[in-house]
Amino acid sequence: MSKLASTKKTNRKHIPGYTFVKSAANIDEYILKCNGLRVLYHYRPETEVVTTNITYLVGAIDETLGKSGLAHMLEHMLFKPTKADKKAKITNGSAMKFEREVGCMLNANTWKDRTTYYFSYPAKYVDTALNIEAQRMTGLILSEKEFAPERKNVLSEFDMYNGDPYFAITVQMVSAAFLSHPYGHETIGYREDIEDYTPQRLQQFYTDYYRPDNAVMMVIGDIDKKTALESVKKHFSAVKNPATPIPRHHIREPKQEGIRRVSIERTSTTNVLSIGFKHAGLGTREWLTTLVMLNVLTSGPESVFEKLLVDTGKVASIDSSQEPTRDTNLAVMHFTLAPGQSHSELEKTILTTIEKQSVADIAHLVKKVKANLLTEELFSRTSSLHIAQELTEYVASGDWENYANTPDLLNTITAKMVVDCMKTQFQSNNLTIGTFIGK
Amino acid sequence: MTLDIKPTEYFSLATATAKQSDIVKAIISIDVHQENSLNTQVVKYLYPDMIFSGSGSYSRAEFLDAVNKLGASIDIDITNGKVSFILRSTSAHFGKLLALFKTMLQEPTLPAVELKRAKNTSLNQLHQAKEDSKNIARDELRNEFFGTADRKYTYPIAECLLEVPKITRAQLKKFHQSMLANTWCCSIGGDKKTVVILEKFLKSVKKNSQLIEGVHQPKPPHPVLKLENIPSRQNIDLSIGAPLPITRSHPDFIPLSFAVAILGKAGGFAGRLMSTVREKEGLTYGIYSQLEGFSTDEQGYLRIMTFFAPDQAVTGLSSTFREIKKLFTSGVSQAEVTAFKTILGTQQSLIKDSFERTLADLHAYHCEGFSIADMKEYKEALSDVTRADVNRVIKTYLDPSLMSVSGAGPTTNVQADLRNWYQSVQ
Repeated sequence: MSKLASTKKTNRKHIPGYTFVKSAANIDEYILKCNGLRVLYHYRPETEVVTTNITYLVGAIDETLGKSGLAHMLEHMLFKPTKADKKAKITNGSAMKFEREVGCMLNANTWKDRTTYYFSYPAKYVDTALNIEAQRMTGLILSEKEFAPERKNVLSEFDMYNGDPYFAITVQMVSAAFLSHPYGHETIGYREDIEDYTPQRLQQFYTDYYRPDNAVMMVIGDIDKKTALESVKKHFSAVKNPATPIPRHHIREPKQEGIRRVSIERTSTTNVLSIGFKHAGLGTREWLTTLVMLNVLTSGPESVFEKLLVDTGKVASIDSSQEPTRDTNLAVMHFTLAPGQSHSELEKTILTTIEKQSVADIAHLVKKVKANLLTEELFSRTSSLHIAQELTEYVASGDWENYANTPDLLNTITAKMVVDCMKTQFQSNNLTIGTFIGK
Repeated sequence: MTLDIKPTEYFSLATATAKQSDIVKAIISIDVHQENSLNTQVVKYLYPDMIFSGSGSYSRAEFLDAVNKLGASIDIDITNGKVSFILRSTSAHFGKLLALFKTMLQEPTLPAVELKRAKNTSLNQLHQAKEDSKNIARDELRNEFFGTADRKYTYPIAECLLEVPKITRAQLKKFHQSMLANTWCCSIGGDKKTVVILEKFLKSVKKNSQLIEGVHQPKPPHPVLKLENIPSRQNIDLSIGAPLPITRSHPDFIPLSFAVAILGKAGGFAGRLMSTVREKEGLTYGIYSQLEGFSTDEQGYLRIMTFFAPDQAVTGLSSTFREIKKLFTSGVSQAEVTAFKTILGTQQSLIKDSFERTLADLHAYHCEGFSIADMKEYKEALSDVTRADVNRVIKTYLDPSLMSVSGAGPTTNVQADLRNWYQSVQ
């Protein structure tokens, strides 16, 4: 077992007011006894920098029909003033004030299963950052005055994404791939839904999901554990959970029978063929096998389709995406056609090529992809912010300890597993195909 | 990490040395700009592909295979006439990666069959770039500020498409030779052992150095509005700015960088443009300003980058220009100067959190000819800026009536309105 994956439990882990849960990859997990807030702590010496990152287990998966994008809209609103800010006459909200007076790095992002907020700052500001997070966990004011311009910003963000052919076709593809599961809409939601939001609708969502027992706070950086955890306790122990349970939708996706197809026609010089397939959630060997498979097929000049399609001039570029989600989701490969190429011919070539791949064909590629992914993993663990960002995805997928296990799990993947993955995932009852047609 | 910069006769080496590191990253940057022409620009476009297309006894496939087997990478970036090779690997494999890199540099074969392939793929990528509204808006703006021979001028895609088929192996080889001959600016982040390996490598491959004079063609301000219709986009991407007749060495540069940060600090929400145009008015998702293209001996320009929905374009631009005008007429407050000293100081502190940001920061200063002491002095000078300095440079350089605007996106239905608006701010 590698150093990254070592797990142990000792008495030295005891911190008053907390229950110690587990350690892995030099990360300790605790639960704040009074309200169930989970805390992950990781020490990085000699940087003088701390990143605090709070992840709420709420995202697009918790949105119902007509309410797509609510989690993301709410994320924007958490930078607005809270009740405490109003009392202290901080007109732009204390998160913004923290950035505008200190220069901390701050931002937030929403994804399918979670919403995350982070600050990176010199270690002396840890109390400021944690106080802001605690205040905005339950003290947000959702007024029409603050909401109206922010909705316009979100619409501007939506238009920015939607102008991109790859995003536009992916929106259509996920909606076809999932008839019932909420992964069938993109995190930002539909423009029409965003236009219909009200502060009241956001308020309900906020009350339902922003609570200590639905959050994981990470403290990563140049700060000792006792100071870090005591600061978290100081700011969060007064935050109570509502008496109501956290609303969850347990939806089983209906069985797919045959290829699902969507298309977009737009005035454009771009033509794209997008092939999507469903894959298992993050933290599983299957997710990593899919990642290796996608790299074998599409990543870099040695990949199967770069050699077959880009080098021969049939395709201008290839891109692929696989989201780190908890449940089964849709991965997509985008092929931008060279001028004069046909979508249908290209689709046939791609699917036939995948069907023919054997262990002998790809064994050398699998080995190299794994080596590259392992190096990338080492690079991604060299800043507190990157560590927090990666750890966040594992938290949202259900078990952060898989973050520690990833290098070992990656090493176990074989070329046969990758070929088997191709055979399973590219069956017609698992495929969704999109065509972006430039007119 | 311990930082150091060592100039030698033929190259200079900056090091960010860690006590222990499993990984290593090295950057080698070489200024190859002499006189920008359509041909040299397209040669630079093809070169990153061709330099990987065969070295010594390795074919393209064999070379890629050898690098990837190490779980390593060699990336090449050519921007503004500067080539940068970026090498990443585990510390254990760094020596092997450098051996491959040496072959790549010393024995490129540039095979004819690979040139044919590279031309085809480049033509396809250029075709795809026709709808890259952000880059088109930026390039059109810069082209108004610099002559065609300047490193910051970008030839139109349509002209590049016609030039690609004309590129020869001899032209690529000439480019490669000039790159080898010019001064190398090298930086590494890693442990002591990898630093020693790189130093040894550099001494073995770099045995000459020539300084080249690049053509620099800044143009005086002549404000224009340029619009490119790209109907597939939903927003109009905008680049707004003006050429600035100073270099990075000029005493006005630091107070000017302060003024531009107060106007629209890149990243985050601290700038005036983000707090008004985005936060209060909800007109765009992002709006930032920054100084670009400066070096210790070349002038650069101000660029504000943003985007608006077509029906909000006039309103959004009016708000943006209102903020520039407010800055120009009323200047900045003492509180803003004090706050931004802290903000910029914190940004410097945060670099230490990241291995890659530490290296990138060191490399940027290093390639500008700074020593470690110069770098420290320059960063400390940020805290000596006064409000009077900032307000003086604002009056000198940031006149909104001298700003050009370049937009790319679905402009057809708003061209007339935008032209009327632009006339009104001149």
